[in-house]
Parts: sequence; structure tokens; C-alpha cells
Amino acid sequence: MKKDTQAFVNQLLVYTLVMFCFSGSIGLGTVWMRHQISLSANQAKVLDARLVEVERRITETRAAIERAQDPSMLKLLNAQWQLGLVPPEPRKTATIDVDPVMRLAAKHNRGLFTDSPVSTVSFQGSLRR
Amino acid sequence: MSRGFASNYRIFLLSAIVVLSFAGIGTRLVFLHVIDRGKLLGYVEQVRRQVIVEPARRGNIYDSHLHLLATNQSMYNVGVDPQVLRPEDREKWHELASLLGMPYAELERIMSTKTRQVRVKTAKTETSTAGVVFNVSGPSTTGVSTGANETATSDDEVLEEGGESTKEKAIRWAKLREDVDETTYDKIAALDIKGVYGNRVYRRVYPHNSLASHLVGYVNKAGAAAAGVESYADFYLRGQDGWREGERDGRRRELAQFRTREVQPVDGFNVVLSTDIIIQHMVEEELKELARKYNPDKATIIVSDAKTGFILAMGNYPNFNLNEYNTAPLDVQRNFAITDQIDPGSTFKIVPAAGALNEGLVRPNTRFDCSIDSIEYKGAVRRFMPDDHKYDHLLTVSEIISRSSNVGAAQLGMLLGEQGMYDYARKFGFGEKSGFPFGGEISGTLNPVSKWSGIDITRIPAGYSISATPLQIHYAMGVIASGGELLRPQIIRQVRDSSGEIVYSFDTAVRRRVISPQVAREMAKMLQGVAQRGGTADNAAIPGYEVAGKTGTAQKLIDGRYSKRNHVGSFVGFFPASRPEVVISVIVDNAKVPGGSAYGRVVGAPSFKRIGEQLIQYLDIKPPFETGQKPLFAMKGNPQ
Repeated sequence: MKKDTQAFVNQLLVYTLVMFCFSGSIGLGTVWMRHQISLSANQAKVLDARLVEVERRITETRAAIERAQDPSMLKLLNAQWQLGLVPPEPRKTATIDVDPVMRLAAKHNRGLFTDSPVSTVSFQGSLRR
Repeated sequence: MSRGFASNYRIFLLSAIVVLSFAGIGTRLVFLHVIDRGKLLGYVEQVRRQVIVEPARRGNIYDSHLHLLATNQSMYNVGVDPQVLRPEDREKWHELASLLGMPYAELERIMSTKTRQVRVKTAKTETSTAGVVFNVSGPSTTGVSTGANETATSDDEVLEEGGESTKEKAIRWAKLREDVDETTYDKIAALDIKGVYGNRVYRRVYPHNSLASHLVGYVNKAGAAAAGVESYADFYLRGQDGWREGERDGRRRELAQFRTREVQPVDGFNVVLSTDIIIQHMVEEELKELARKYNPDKATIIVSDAKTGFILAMGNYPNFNLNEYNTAPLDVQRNFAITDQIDPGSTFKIVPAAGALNEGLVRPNTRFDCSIDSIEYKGAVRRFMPDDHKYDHLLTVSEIISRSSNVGAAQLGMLLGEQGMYDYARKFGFGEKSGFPFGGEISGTLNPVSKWSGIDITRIPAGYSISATPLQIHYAMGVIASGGELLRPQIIRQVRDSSGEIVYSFDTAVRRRVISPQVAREMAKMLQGVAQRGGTADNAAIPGYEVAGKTGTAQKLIDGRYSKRNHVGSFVGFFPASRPEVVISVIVDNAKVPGGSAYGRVVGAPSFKRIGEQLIQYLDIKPPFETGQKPLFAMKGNPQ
């Protein structure tokens, strides 16, 4: 009878200790988890703020680029830096209906297949041989 | 076995203390969590709960090539708390002054002024802050005027029963400069001067300053859209603010983990206009040139797409810088092209000519005697407005247009009759709003036939006794260019969301068909005569291109009489005449031409030509085929 009582008390003590450990670790786990949540939330907040900051910088840069591209500003810089750039003049411009690359190529190759010795095709390699 | 210390009595006492302690704690917990729960939660809510509004980003305004015309930028209002300034930072003040762009002496005065005088006025029974008057005007010993940014706390005030007194008050914030950009503020922050800091504010900025100012409009410092597209498209641009509910700590920092509800802000849509900054620049440079040469009261140039009616550029002289709108008088902020009415003068002659052709009353080669001074019409003799020249032969309808004969135009009007003339004027858009979406457009003046006097049938066909806005005159010419349809002036091309997806796209809007395509072609051919040898504006001709247009010179009505010295000169036209691409109007009000009159030929036609030549290059407008020259072959349906 006495042995049964002692065994029961021992079991009770062990279970109590296990329960303490279990509930303690749940409590500690909860605290750790909440801490991690708050850390993550704060990190997300910081990232969000940085994102907004970057967007703000992008907007500011775009506005600065746009200011620099303003036609009046470009005209001013042209004068200040003495670039001498002038708008195209209609009298000096040829308006064409065909692809300009093809037209320029045709112009360049004009006379290529004529009898003139000047307009022959030669390759460096073949000349060396 | 000894009983030792743990007697039954002591164990009982210890147990009772422990139980009572727990009972006390339990009772307190019941009070905290059950009985006083509501009150305490309310207190916690008040202290820790916060709602943060997340402002939506206002959409941008772009031109047709997505150049930014209006955007948002964060700025800083930089100020100083003179109470916390450190003596060792004083050597950095010079650099701070140069970064802020203010004289050092002024900066030093603001930074060194630590107090200001406060005049306190109280009523007999008042115990609150009501009646506090800050003496911020006029010179004082402190001399700091800090405006609305300065605040007072009630404990600084001296309260007197029904009296008034002054007291030195510590300055905790004195404004140094408003609207400092981020880059400059970073440099200021890098100086690390204790007490100098800035508050971020968001401002609407206009990178192109005065370019297209009357079209873009502006948002004022209070955040209200006040004019132009900013005001008209505010519904699309403004977006919807978001908010989030959460808690904050003792330092008022948000505790991100306790966010309970969150509504994301919805950014405003971006608006893409049909205008092009390059063409707008061409127009505004031309306006500057006109202003320099002729010093007019006002001038306007409008460029639109002949086929769609979309406005490519619209400029006015004078104009204003959108970033400094508060310095521009209200009169300058008006869009002259739609808010002012002028007599169209000879540019209106296209209406009786097109009307008579469309009704089949005349052909382009029908001749009229334009050397007469008067004519009998409906049983009465009507005197014509005299022409500048006498003609030795009968003029064809084409010549009436190319030589701008008032007598010929009146006879065409008489053929149409009063009602016919009125109807065609209405069809061409006179006397009614064009539908331009913003800016306080007026409808001009076109009286109903019942209010016409006896001579109006000789005056109205010549463009007098009728008033119109420059935009109405422009779009009346646009009827010929578009092939006979009156188009609605449009300025907004697209509405896009913040990711760039097109939400809504605007297309050509035809108000009505006015004349047949055949008559429009005939009119275009006749209007070519204006810019040819013998026409009134051969100086508008662009070599290699068919220019169709009409000059206009209207005497200004001053004190009820037509002035012979003050004119509105204009040239309205389009090119190439056989397949119109652009319509250009140049209208100059009261130009001062040295030694001459401000005829449309003098003040309008050269500008038309200069802009046209630039547009040929920029828009790659091809010259038309010469008359009689057939295309050699066709590719993809287009003659090559």
C-alpha cells in the first residue's frame, strides 16, 4: 500500500515537472515567436520606407532629367557651350519616300559595276596573295 | 521524528498568507480585466491606438511622347530651433547659407534670434488661449517673422484680467527656406548642425516651367487643382488615400506588429496629352519672336492634327511659369485662345464661300462684280464694306477668296440669304462652344437672324458683326482640312494607370458634317490661291508644299467704333492642301507694326511659314505629288 502511494507521488512529481517544462517552453516559444513577428514587421516597415524613398528618388531624378531635356534648357546649353547646333533647314533637306538606308547604300554603290577602274572591289587578303 | 519548524500552525499561517495574496491578485485582475476593462481599454486605445493616413500619389501629366509635364516631388521646409544650436556649429553657417541660397547676414539674424515678443490680449473671463495675438509684423527687437509654423503653448502666456501685455517667448522653430529639394537637403543634413532640420512636404512640380502653361494648369499649395488639365482631369489624377490602424510606442513610433486594419492607397491615373513639347516649344518661341517684334496685347498660336482634331500645341502670349503661378496676374493665366472673342475678319470668308458651293449656288469659277459699292438686296440698297483694291474684271469665287474681297464675300452671303448664312456659320461652329474641355470657354457672338440689322448681310460674310474665339476660327478652318467635318478639339489622348496600362483612350470626335468632301477639296484648292502669287499671303508659301490658308485683319472695336489703328491680324491655314496633316492658326491682337498696319499678311503669315517649315522636319511631312505627276508604282496601297 505504502509502495503504491510513493510511486504515485513520484509519478505526480515527474508529470508536474514535465508539465512545467512543457508549458514553460510553450510560453518561451510564444514570446520568441512574438518577438520574431515584431522584428519581421519592423523589417517590413523599414523595407517599405526604403521602397518609398527609392521611388521618391526616382521621381526626383525623372523630374531632373525632364528639366534638363526642356527645349529651352537645351537651347541655352547649346549657346553656353558654343556647340553651334542648328535646327535642320528645309532647303538643305531632301525628303525621300524610300528607306534612307537603302537609298544611301544605292548612292554609295552607284558606279560599282561600271567599267571605271576606280570602282573595283578588292580585298586585303587577295592582294597579299 | 521531530516536528521541527513546520508546525501545523505555521503551515496554516503561511498557506493563509499565500492564499490571501493570490486572492488579492485575483481580485485586482478581476477589476482590471472585467470591471474596469472598458475604461482602461479606452485609455490604452487613446494613448496607443493610431490611424495613419497614407496619401495617394497624384498621377503625372505627360505629353504625347511621355515627357513629363507635371509630377510630384518631395520638398523640405527647412527651419531652425535656435534654442539647441551649438557654438561649435557656427563655422558651418556659411555653407548652410550658400546651400539655402540666402544671404549669410539674414541666416545669422534668424539663427541668433532666440526669443520674440508676444502680445497677449485676454478677455475678462477668458482662461483659454483665445485672443492670443502674435506680433509677427513690423520690426521688433527680435525681428523674426516665422509665419504659421510657429506655435505657442498656453503655459507661455501671461493672462491678465481684461488687459494686454507682452512677453518674451522662446522661438522653437524659425523658417529658413521653403521647398528645398532632396539633394540639397541631404547636403544640409550632412552638415550635422544641431537644431537645423526640415519637414517633408509634397509639391506638384512642372519640369518645363512655362511650357504649355495654359493647358497643363496647376495645383496650388493647398493641394487644390486650380486650372487646366490639372483641374479638368482631377478626378483621374488625384487617386484615393489609404490608411492603416495600429499602435504606437511611447516615442510615438509605429509598432508595425500591431497593425490591425490596412487599406492601401490607390495612386492617381496618369494623363497623356496630345500635345508635343517640341511643337509647343516651336510655338512658344514664335510667340516670343512676335512679342519682341510687334509688342502685341495678346497673341495665340494653335497647331492641331488635321485628321483627328487633337491639339498638338496651343500657346499664348503672355504666359506664365507654372512653378511660380502665384506671381502671375489672373489675366495672364487666362487661356486667350478660348476665353477671349475677336472679330474673325476675312478668315470668316470661308463660310459664305463653302456654304454657297455646298448649296450648289456657285462654282469655283462663277464670277462676281466686285467693283461695285452697293447692291439692291430684298428691295433695299445695301452698301458694301469697301475693298482695299479696285478690280478691273469680274472676280471668280476663287479670286474672291485669294484676294479677300469683302464685296465678293457679301454677295456670296446674299446668295445664301440671312438664314442660310446664319445656318452655315453655326455649322462651322461659330456662336457655340467648341467643346474644349476646360479653361472657361466662351461661345462667341453670333446673333440670330431676327436681331440682324439691314447691313449685317454685307458685314457678317466679311467677318464683322460676329465674334469668335481663336479656337473657333481654328476649327472652322479645320472643317476644310478634315474633308468637311467639324471636329471636337481634344487635348487628352489617354488615361493610364500607375503601371502604364491604358485605362481609357480618346479617339477622334466628329461634331457634325458641315460640307461635302468634294466641296472641302474645292475650298482647299481655292485657299491655296491665298498663299500663291497674287494672293493676300504669298509670304506664307512653303516651297514644295501646297499651303492653303486665309488671312484675316479685323479692325478692333474701341469705344463702340472700329479703330483704324488697332487690328487683330491673323493667318489660319493648313498643309499640304491635297492631304492636310496640320492646321496652324496665328492670331495677333493689336500688334504694333513700325510704319504699317498689323495685317494678317504681316503678322500672321510669316509665323505660319516658320512653324510649318519646322513641322515638316519634325513630323516628317512629305511633299505632295506635283500636279499631273502620277506615282510610278504602289506599295502596300501607298503610292511610292
